[in-house]
Amino acid sequence: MKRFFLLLIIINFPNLGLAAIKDKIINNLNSIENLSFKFEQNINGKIETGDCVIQYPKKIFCRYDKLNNKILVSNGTSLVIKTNNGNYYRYRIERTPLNYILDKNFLIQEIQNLKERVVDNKFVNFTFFKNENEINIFFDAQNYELIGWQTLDIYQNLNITYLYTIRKNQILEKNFFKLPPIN
Amino acid sequence: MKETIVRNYLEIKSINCLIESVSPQVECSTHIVKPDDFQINKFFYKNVGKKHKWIDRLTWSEKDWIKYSSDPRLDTYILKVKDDLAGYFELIFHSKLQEIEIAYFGLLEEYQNKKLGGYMLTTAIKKSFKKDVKRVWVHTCSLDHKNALDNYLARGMKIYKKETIRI
Repeated sequence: MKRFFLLLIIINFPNLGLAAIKDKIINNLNSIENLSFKFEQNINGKIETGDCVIQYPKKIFCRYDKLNNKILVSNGTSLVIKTNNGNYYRYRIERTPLNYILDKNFLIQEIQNLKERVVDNKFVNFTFFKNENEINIFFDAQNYELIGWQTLDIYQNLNITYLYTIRKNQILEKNFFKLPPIN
Repeated sequence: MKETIVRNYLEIKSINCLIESVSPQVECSTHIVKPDDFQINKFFYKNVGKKHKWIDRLTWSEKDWIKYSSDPRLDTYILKVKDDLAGYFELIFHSKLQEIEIAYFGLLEEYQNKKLGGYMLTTAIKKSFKKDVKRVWVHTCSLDHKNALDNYLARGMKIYKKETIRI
């Protein structure tokens, strides 16, 4: 009987390890109200950098380093992209993959049901499909922090966002995610 | 598997032939995209077109989109509903022929069936006739939204050519 239990433990050991990783990622996500970070974004090979703040659910403010002082803001329902050369566009957030990436509860629910992929012992990756978008989320395999995402739509537009210098749960000003005015 | 589709070509030859649509019940406005922004053309092409088999530009690179959207003959307009992007149309000015082609025209799914298509087409025809043109034309096919052809006819456009093609 002892041998049988030992065998069961050996067989299930890797799964227990992966379940622990999932739990730690979920626990970590649960502890996050907001994240501030620098980002590097690669869209079809074009690199953009800048600073972002995320507040769950679905709020984000990003300022790009170059690109006409481009800013990207979501107040939770609408997403605005504004540049200082006069472009101002407001999208419903449901039209963008950020609708899922910025929804902590959605991510947790997906993670609970998905099989993770550990890449080079450095990253933990979960892949899911929503509205014809393939979305990959990456976490640090050591500290379980969110470190990036990758979206690939049915038209093969690849957007890879890598986060670094991450700070959790900063005190944010009221109206931090207020949509900017048109002018 | 091949599919048979019917393509109708429609035209309107004078602003006096335009039958304006009733105003939509929602707060909306139309704006020209200036400066050019290929992301807008691409966003609408992808999001409006995915239900209607708009496929020929899916392989376009960013360079192709930039070249297209910055063509001086092209004007892109967007429809905003309460400031959110809801639809678009593209007008191509053929100066030698003195005509404007409505190249692309569409609403995001959540804004369809709210009388916005009629309003947007009325605006497109009015904007077109502000230039020195003899006619405005468009083509639509049986893969487009079920109300597309009716909308063009209801605004006073006439079918001048019809063809059946297999794709």
